[in-house]
Amino acid sequence: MPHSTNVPYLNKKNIDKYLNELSLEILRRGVGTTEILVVGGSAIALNHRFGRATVDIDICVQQQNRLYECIIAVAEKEQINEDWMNADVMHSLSFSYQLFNGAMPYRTFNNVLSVYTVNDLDLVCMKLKAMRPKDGTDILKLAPILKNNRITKEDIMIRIEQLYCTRFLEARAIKMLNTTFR
Amino acid sequence: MSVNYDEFNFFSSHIAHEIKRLGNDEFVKKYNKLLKQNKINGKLEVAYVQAMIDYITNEDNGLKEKTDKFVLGFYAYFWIAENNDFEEANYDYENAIEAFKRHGFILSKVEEAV
Repeated sequence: MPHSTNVPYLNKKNIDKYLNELSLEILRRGVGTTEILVVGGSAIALNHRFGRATVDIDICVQQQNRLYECIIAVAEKEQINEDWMNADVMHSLSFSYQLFNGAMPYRTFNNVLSVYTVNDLDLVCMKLKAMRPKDGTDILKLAPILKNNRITKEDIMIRIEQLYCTRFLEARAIKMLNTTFR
Repeated sequence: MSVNYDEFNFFSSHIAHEIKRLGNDEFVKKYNKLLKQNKINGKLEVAYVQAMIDYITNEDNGLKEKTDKFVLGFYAYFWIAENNDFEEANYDYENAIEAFKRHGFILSKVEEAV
């Protein structure tokens, strides 16, 4: 990135490294088997070759156990921000517990950390709910992939209803959907 | 000035996360220092950070960087380019946040980090 500050960006390569470190910390502390669902930009970075970078790894969890203390331990060891991995997205409008149903296995690290990623259809639904500027550029990249897999605008609306119990989207999101999936 | 929205959106997202992490006061302190040390690269990025500092502090801090031409938000730009549709751009223009307009950005909403 040409702009810079002192915060390291996350991409596929270092996300894998940090996930491995996290699994080692889970082992070291005897936390037990842990499952996380990676969403947002990190899911794109792990599943696609767009070169997508992100500033944090957004995760959803069904059980926290002592995951946070492991996350903080990795941050201290790697000299990165404590919120390098966080579940704040679970408090946002784009979250739904139904996301766990569509989770795709990504990799298991050291037999203790099972990492899942959100599928592309759910990711587009989340981004249509959030509609920040970066969501728009991500939707543009994911739309051709979904269209290649014969996913239609109606499929997206059906999934939105399953995720959020309503088909309501803000006007800009509907416009984005109509433009990209016409 | 042509805008690479991939990069710009990522940068504005990064800034949103920094505000969330540091809080307003620490953000202003840290980024004023980075600006003074010329540690933020790119005219667009410097202008955006200066605009954000003005926005947070709710005053004109006398920071001078400005984009060469007005920079639209991503959606406004996208719909003009894609459909010759000026609705979003007009809305953003009419509701432009003064602190950002002063530095060349036509934005009606500031991105917040989740």
